[in-house]
Amino acid sequence: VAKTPDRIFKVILVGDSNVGKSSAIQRFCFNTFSDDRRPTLDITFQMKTIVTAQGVTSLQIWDSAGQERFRSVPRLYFRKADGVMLLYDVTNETSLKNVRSWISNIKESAGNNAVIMLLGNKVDKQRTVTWEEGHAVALQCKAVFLEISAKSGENVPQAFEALTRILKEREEGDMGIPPSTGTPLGETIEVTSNNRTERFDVARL
Amino acid sequence: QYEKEHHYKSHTYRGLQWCEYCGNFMWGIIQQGVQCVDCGLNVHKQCAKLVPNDCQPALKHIHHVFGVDLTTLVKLHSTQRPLVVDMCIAEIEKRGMDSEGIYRIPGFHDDVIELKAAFDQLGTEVNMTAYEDVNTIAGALKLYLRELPVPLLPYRLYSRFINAAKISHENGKLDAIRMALSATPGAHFETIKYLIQHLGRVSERSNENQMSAHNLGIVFGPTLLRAPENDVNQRYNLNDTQFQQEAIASMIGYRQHLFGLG
Repeated sequence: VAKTPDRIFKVILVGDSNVGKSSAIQRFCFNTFSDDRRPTLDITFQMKTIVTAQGVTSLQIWDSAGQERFRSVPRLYFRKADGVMLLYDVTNETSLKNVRSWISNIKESAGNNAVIMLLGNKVDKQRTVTWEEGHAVALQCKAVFLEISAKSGENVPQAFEALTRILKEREEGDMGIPPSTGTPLGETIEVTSNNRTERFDVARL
Repeated sequence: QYEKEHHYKSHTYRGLQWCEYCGNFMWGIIQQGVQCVDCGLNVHKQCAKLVPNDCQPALKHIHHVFGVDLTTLVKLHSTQRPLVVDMCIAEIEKRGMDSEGIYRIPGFHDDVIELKAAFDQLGTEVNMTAYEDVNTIAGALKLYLRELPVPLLPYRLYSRFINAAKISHENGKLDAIRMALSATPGAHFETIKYLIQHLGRVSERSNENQMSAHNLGIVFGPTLLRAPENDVNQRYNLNDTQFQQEAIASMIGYRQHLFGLG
């Protein structure tokens, strides 16, 4: 049953090439995974509606080409983004090291308002970056942190749902409405995945 | 060697100055004449039009490698191609041809910037082996190409390359690309030929490095074939992306046809 969303959030995915931005979107929106290794050519977006007990929310999810970070990522793309998912590859230390320069790129273009979520992708593979290392970077950058796998699907819906909840709560907090998700602003929300519970401190964002 | 135009800027001389073209005195109190910023030639404004394109850039006028006009740089160093291109390609051929996602995966940003600074300061003295991650070297090469004030495939030929890529008939497309290539200035042509032949060798090993001509086209399209910024709006540019990719992928795929064996 198609429902009209209460709210549409614009979410963009950024990060180095080959970390799996398009694959994460493909997994979340279509629940599929393809092994071809084509870089993304353009900027595209997908709509996905999340239905929860609290209401219907649509996400407008923008995919970008990780390639041209220095020149061609248009400012327009970052503008008015509610949430930014910054991906790195847990099998490639460099992609985590580059997170800091991505953060400054985001801050410069999107301002300080966007909620940033740091996602370590490819946990199905042999990792070279530990959970702790990713988490430490996330703390420094004041970002929400999760590890996902676009290939197996692990934590992918959880990541998008968590981001949606945070965005909703923050918005309701801004408008002075008691949060519909039942978590008062300033407390932590929890996202439970297979074996680990991630706690997100809403106020810190 | 390649022809190079002088790059004049209006200049005010403090002392007495004679034109280096006609030999006559340069009259006036301010802006008596023009000076070439690359070689330092001083001439009357009206003489500037008559000076042949024989600018030989001098080291004391140019302090960088990145962001310097390609023809200026190769004339300065008396090389066929920019040293950054030669050195990075040599290093990648040595140890990066089997690296998965070569040219796609960026190096560590800070290291790429450091390598750029090293090229600017040390030129050929740069120690490439100090950069363990081959993606850093690929990143520096891409950054160099992106920072060229005139892209490798120059702005004035941009629409010719894009229109060529739009031709669906393979032979017609290749002919149009060849025509556009033949119009590129000498130093640019030499460099694109060398680069495309290298990328061809990369694509031959795509079963190891996953970088087919198609994928390399996506990565290099916007780098080599940049839209002129002043007369193109963002939308036009975005629609062109697939033709930028197509043009570069065709050059890689048909490199022997377009450039001969190398």
